[in-house]
Amino acid sequence: MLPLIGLLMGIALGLILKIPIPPSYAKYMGVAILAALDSAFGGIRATMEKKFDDKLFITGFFSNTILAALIVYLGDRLGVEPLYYAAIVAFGVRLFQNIAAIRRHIFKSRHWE
Amino acid sequence: MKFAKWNISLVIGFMVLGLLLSTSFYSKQYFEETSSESRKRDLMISVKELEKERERLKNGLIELRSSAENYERRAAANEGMFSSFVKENEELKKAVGLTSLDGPGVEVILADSAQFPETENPNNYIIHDYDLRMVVNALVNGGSEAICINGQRLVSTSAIRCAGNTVMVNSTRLSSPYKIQAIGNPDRLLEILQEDEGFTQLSQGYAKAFGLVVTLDKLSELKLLPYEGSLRLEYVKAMED
Repeated sequence: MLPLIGLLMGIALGLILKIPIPPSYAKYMGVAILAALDSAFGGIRATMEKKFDDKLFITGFFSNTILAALIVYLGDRLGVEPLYYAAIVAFGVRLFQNIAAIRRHIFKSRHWE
Repeated sequence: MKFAKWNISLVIGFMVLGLLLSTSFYSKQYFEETSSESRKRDLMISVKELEKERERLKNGLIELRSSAENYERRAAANEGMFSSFVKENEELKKAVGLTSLDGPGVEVILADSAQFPETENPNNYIIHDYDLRMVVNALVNGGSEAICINGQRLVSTSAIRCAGNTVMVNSTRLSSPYKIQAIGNPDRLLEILQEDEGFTQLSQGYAKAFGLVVTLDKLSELKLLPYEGSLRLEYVKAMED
């Protein structure tokens, strides 16, 4: 429940701050969001599997998010467009894997109860 | 399975995720709006402001003109020598279009169609600048001495042009219905319009086909407003004979 409150607080904060990101940076923002989503679901999964490590999570969260945007930015500068897709595919696949693991875990734990 | 023991770092992570999501969402809304809608709004506002400004300047011009007239009249009263100049001045003003006029003539009313089918070309259902020009040309051809469109007097520098879904005359926006009043020989003007090919096509053909309103009336008494814009000439010089 607590992460959900955190999520809502973050959304509210964003709507209060109202920082307009120029459309030219929307691409980096998108990849960063994907990376953050992946890390967040990874965090839930780790909690469920009882191997959550807060240091690992926090560093992973921020380094993934920043690195994802940075790689895409670098790809744009170097004219290597595929780096964008590489980031999208990598984080996309991981995101779905994490969600699948969470789903399986929920059903499994229900079964055991 | 215990959900109760959530780590604070996970909460922070989710908060950042929420922040990213809402910021991204907000920026998209913000820039979509600024790119089209608000730009349009800004332009509308500046048009309205400029129109207000022009109205103000026009009023100033009218005031100045009337005070100049007062001086002229006083001069005419005081010194007989000026009276012939003043008289000539009056005549010229009448010819140029700076005075209110009345006299017999015709009144043509053109209005957009009430129908507006979405499937067809909407241009067929509205009155255009060229329709007005066609009528005005026919009237001038028929010896009309003064012409007004919706109160805008036509003078030597007047233009009738298209401006979006309105028509500009003397840099004033006019919209349907357009009332064209012309002073001249009413019978002659009526005749010339009825003989005009373009006008017949408009009043008989297009009006019936698309529901445009076209009326033509002979009037024994018409009142035309004076031209209120500027007549300052910057480039022309009178040639010496």
